[in-house]
Amino acid sequence: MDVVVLDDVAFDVEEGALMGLVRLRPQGVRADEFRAVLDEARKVARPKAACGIAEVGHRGRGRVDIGGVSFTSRLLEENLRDANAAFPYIATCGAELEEWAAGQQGALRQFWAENIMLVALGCAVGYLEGYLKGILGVEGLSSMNPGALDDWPIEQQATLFGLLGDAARSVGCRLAPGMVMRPLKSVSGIYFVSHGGFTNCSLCPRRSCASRRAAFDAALYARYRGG
Amino acid sequence: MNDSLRLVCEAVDTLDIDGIRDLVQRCLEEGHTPEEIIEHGIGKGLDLVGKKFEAGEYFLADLVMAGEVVKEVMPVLKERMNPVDAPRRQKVILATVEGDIHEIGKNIVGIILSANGYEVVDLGVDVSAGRILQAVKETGAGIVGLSVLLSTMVGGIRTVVEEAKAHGIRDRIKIVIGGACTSRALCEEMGADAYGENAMDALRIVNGFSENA
Ligand code: B12
Ligand code: SF4
Repeated sequence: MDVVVLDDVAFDVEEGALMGLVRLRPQGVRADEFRAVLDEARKVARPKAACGIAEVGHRGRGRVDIGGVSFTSRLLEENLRDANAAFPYIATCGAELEEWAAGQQGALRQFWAENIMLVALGCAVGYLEGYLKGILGVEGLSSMNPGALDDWPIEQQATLFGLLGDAARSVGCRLAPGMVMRPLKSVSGIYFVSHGGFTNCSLCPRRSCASRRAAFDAALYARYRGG
Repeated sequence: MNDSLRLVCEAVDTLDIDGIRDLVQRCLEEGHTPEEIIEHGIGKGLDLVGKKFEAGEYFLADLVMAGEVVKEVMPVLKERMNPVDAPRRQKVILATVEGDIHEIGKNIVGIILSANGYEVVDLGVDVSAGRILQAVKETGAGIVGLSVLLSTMVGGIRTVVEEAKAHGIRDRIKIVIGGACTSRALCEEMGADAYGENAMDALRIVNGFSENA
């Protein structure tokens, strides 16, 4: 499996937008303090992503081989039915920024740091998606994440990290024994080209989710849940 | 309500961190006691903020900012307060269970409880039952709030319940759970004491516990 490490992701953040996000007025009481914090963050932030370009091998009975490693998920198997390749990935805000954030004193600065880390993670994810769309020449990319749906449990993080081991290390991301990724502001999953535009939402029963992108499909859900 | 107190209330409600100091100063100059300003100005303002949050008009960032607006003037008020009148604050421990890293919801609960006079000890995310119980012992807190978003990690709630029993302190603490993958049924299944759907619910539950304590 070929591995791509993207460690030159720009921490592209627009000061005004971020200030709006944390409810600061540009000329207000805490504005200068915030700018100083953001400047510090800009100096240390190194959002990163790593991604494998993996062959999809044998499929069947709720399992699918990706890059020679067998994953257990009926949905993943189905989503990769017509695919030759899949792209296991990890994206992170970067250990540098997490370390910096840990040093921020007081609830307000902690809150700013949390938001800055999430924006950095967003930069890494955005860059990775753009990169993959570019090399593949496609518009539609879908992703599945271990732990997001019952069908692909969180324990499969270990399999994913097994496959991406060196790449994960090179972006400074590790999987702790309880399946928690460190840095905490990280996401993992497998991208694939999807013409139908698969999204987890159609199979996610969370009622009051503000970010829902597709209606819940009860019939499909029952199909993957049941036997 | 008196005009100056109403302006303080409005400043909290509209998150006016730039204006609050002068408004509180004016109330003091007019002879209002810090207790009056806290109850009729700041407290009422925080109630309005809570309502807007419940209605989906305000988000986490607004709550944090409301907290900052209040912090901006608390030192001035505390300085003039009679220490005997300062209410004693109940302690609440908050944590996201072991194996889970989602904290935004827990942080909101923390802000709402702090704004309503509770002393919140936030242990962070991915916190083991052992650490939670150690904190209970160290702080003497009577209420533990557990947040879980990853459905695979809900067992963490039972672990806290069981370990509390093993340490002989289960009767001494109330355990309230919340987070998008929890429910009333789960609360019963895990042997916790209450389930809160959102942060205002958390406040109602914790208030109920404190009244009955
Ligand atoms: C933001 C987010 C993240 C952020 C976390 C940021 C942070 N600092 O917390 C990031 C991007 C890092 C993240 C990562 C992951 N996430 Co995530 N994440 C979310 C998301 C989109 C929103 C959660 C949130 O903050 N909601 C807003 C708050 C306000 O709502 P809330 O937490 O429910 O809290 C309210 C109430 O529940 C209640 N409440 C909450 N706690 C408590 C406590 C008490 C005591 C009480 C009374 C009430 C209460 O009050 C709150 C305020 O009203 C959810 C999707 C969703 N809609 O829930 C997924 C979600 C929770 N994540 C999920 C997953 C799987 C993951 C990953 C494992 C994915 C992966 N493989 O990479 C990783 C893990 C990362 C790691 N380090 O190991 C899944 C979980 C699925 C499941 N069935 O369990 C979800 C549901 C998304 C999905 N369907 O895939 N995630
Ligand atoms: S409905 Fe919400 S929680 Fe469920 S997958 Fe979609 S965005 Fe995530």
